[in-house]
Amino acid sequence: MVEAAQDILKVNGLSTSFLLREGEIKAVDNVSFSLKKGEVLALVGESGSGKTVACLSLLRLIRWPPGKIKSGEVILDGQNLFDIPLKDMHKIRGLGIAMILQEPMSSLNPSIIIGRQIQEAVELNQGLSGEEAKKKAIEMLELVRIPSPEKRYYNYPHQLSGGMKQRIMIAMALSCKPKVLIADEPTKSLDVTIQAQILRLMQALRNDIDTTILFVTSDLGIVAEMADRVAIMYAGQVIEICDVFKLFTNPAHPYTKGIMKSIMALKTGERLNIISGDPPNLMALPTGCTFHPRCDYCQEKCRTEVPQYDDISGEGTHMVRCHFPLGVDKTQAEGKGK
Amino acid sequence: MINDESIKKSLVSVRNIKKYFPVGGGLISKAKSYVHAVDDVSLDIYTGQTLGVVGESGCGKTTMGRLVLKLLNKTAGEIYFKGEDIYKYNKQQAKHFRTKAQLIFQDSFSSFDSRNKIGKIVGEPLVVHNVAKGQELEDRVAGLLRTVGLKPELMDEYPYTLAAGQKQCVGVARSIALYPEFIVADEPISALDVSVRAMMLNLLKDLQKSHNLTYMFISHDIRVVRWLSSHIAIMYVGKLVEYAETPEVFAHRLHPYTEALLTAVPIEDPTLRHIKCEILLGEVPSPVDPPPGCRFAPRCFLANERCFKEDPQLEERRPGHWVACFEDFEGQAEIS
Repeated sequence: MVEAAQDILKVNGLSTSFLLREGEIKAVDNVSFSLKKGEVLALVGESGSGKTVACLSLLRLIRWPPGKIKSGEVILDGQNLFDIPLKDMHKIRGLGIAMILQEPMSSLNPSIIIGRQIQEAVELNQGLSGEEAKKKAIEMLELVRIPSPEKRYYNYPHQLSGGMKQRIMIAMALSCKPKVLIADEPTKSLDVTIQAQILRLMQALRNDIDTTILFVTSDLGIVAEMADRVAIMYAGQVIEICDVFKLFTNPAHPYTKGIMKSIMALKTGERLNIISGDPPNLMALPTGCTFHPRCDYCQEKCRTEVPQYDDISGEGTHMVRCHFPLGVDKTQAEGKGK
Repeated sequence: MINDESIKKSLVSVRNIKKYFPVGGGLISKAKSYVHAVDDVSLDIYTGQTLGVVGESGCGKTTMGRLVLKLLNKTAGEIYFKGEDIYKYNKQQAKHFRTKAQLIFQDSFSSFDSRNKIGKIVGEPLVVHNVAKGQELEDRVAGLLRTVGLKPELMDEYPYTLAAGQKQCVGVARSIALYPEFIVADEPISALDVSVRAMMLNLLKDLQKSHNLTYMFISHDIRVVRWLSSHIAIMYVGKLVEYAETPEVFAHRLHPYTEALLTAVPIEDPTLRHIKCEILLGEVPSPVDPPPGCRFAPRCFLANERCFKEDPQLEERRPGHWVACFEDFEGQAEIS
C-alpha cells in the first residue's frame, strides 16, 4: 500500500433518510469511508443495504421529498460537497465524481445517437465544441474498445448490445476525467462472458489512466477480482472495512463471516452456511446491533448497545462495527475501544 | 449413453427436440424467418439426479425447460417421460403429467395472484386436481409451508407482506404440493441475495433427498449449478455443446465455449485474479436463421474452415462425456 497517497474522497458520518408517512427509513446511517487516489474500494451489501443511496448521496442526487441527507460531510479533494450551493453541484457531477448506473438501457436517450450523447458530456464539462468535441467522443469510444468507433458514433442505443451500451456509459463517465468514478453494479444485467470483458476493461482503464473507483456490487467474486479494499454494508451501516485479502482470510464481523462461509461451500459441495432470519426491515430496525437477531454470537450487550466503529488492526486498516469481533481477543478489543 | 435404451432407464429423455419461433408474418402472410431457440437437443435425466442447464441469455435454456414440461408446442423431436412421449398424451394423461412435473419460477411473486392469501396460493394445485378440501386441505397446506421452513400462520398473509426469500419458498411449497417427481427450476435463485440464496439452495437439496425429486436446474451461474447438479448441459444459441457429469465437466472441458464460460466466472479469491487471462471476445450471435456450421465458430479461437461449413454433432468423446466440436480440445486453464 502506498503510504503517501492521500485521501481523494472522504465520507464522514453520512446519514440519508427517507421520511415517509409510515415513518422514517434510515437508508444510510452514519457511514464513513475514504478513498485514496488510484484505489478501488468495493462497496458490498445485499439489496436494501443502502449501497446505491449512499452513492447518490455523494452526488447529492437524493430528491426531497421524501429523501433527505441528514448529516455528514463528503470531502472531495479538500472541498466539502455539502457546502456547495445545490445549483453549482453540476460542476462536481461528471468532473469531480462520475457515476455508471446499473441499467445502461434506461440511462441512455433512445432517440439520440450515442456519439452525440457522449459529446454532450464533453461539451458541458470540458468546454469543447464542434469538431473537437466529436473527435474527443470518438476517442472515448476507442478507449472503451468499441470496434470501428467512427461508424458506431452514429448508432442509436437500440442498435447496440447490452455489453456495448455499458461501454458507452463507461466512456461517458470517463470522458470528463473524473477524480472519482462510482460504478453501481455495472455488470448486474450482463452475461458472464460480457461481464468478464467489462471487468477487464475497467481493470485496464484503471491501470492506464489511474482512476479512483468506488465499485458497488453484491458479487464477492467481482470483489476478489477488482477491489483493493472492501466496505461491507448491512442495514444502512458500514459494518466492516478492510483490505480485500483480509476480507477473504480473516473477516471479523459475524455477518461477513457468514456470507464468506456460504460462498466458499459452493466450491466444495458442502451444505451451505445459512444466516438465519430475514434481512432487516428498515422501518423497524432491531435495537442495539442491527444484526443481532440473525447473529450466532449474539450476547446481551448486542441487544441493547449500539456497537461503535472499532479499529481492530490498530493501524486504521481494519474497522469493524461489532461488540465481539471474531478472531480478536475480547479483553484486548475492549481495551482498544477505550 | 444417449440412445433408445436409455429412454427406458431415465425419467426424462429428450431426443432431437427443436423449437423454432416465427419472426414477422401474420394471420395470412407466412413468417419470413425463425428464431432457432432450441435446435436438435438430445439428453437424458435420471431419477433423483439434477441436470444443470447453463448458458448465456438467449441460449434457449428457458425454452428447453418449457418444452420438457409441455408448456410449449415443439417444432420437431420427442420428449419422453417414463418412457412415454409427452406430446402423444391424451387429455387425461396430460392432466396426470401436470401433477408429476412442476415448475419453479425465477420470480415467484409475479406468478402469484396478489389478491389471494398464501394459503390459497399454495393449496390451489390440490383443489384443481381434487386432492383435498376443507380441513384436510388446510392441514396439507400447513404441512407444505412447514416443509419449506415457513410458519403455517403465513397462510393468512398476502404475498406482498413476505420477504423475497419467503416468496420464493412459497413458490417451492406450491410446486411440491402434488408430490411431483420432476421439477424444472428456472433461475430460482438469481433474484435473491447471497444470504437468502444459501437457504434456498439448501432447501432444494433437502427436498430432493426427502421427496426423491429429479431436477432440471436452469441457471446462468455456473458456481451454483456446480454445487447442486449431478450433470451439466451447456447450451449455446439453441445447441447443446457439452454434456457430462459435473466433476467430469470441470476436470475435462472439451468444448472451447465451456472453457470460455468457466474461466469468465470471477473467482472468490483475491490471490487468483484470473480475468486477465484470455477471455471470450464478441457477443452472442442472433439465433434468427443462424448460418450453417458451428454456431460458436465466429467467436472460437480454434475455428477452421470446416467449422463454418458443417455443423458438429454431439459425440461421446470420453465415457459419459458428450461434446459437439470437431477439434480435439481440452481446457487447460486453472479453475478452482
